[in-house]
Amino acid sequence: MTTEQVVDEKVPARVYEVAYLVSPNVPEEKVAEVVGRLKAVLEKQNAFILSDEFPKFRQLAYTLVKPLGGKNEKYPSAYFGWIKFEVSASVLEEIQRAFERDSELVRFLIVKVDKDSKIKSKPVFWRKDTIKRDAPSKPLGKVPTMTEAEIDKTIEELVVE
Amino acid sequence: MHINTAPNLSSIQHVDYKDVETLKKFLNPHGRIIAHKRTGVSSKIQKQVSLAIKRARFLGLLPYIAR
Repeated sequence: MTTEQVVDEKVPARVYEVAYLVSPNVPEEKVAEVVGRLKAVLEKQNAFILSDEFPKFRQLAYTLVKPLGGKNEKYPSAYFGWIKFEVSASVLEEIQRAFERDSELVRFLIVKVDKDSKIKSKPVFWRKDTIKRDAPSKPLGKVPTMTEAEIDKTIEELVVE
Repeated sequence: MHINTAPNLSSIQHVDYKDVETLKKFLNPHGRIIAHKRTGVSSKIQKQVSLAIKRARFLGLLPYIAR
């Protein structure tokens, strides 16, 4: 048990994201197969898949050119998808090589990302003291319960003032 | 006179290379990255934005050059 922990500390799993473009020559119903193949590659290296997006067909901003079988293949469009996964850094190279071998991938990019890089809410003011001042100091525990009549009465009192 | 570019760029807190719509606000009509001076965002965000744009360009999501 202790030895395992030591090993874990030496090679901590990191979170990566691979964004990829699947060739538009692949028919729509076969795209799932390609995705399955990529996931199999990741799982073979003990990667833990955190989240992913299924490839969507889109026009690209410019025509990608990739040599394929002695000829340059042009890709004005492709299926764009991504997979977020957790894996130790040492096997990343293997994953990259496996992806390079896949002829149905036009291009891919592996980047390191934060574990929980969700889009946070965007406060308009983000001076620290403003946030501190406006935030409630402690959670409002029990909400006082009032009957409808009581609420009406309180409102009337306020209106009079 | 200083001309203010697209509004609300300062409200950006998280930069992602897949978020093409947000990144497009940092490109001029030629597809070039708008200068830090013009965008008015913090250095941290500007750096993240330019890296994200370069990643998106590689993946064909944004243009390197546009008319």
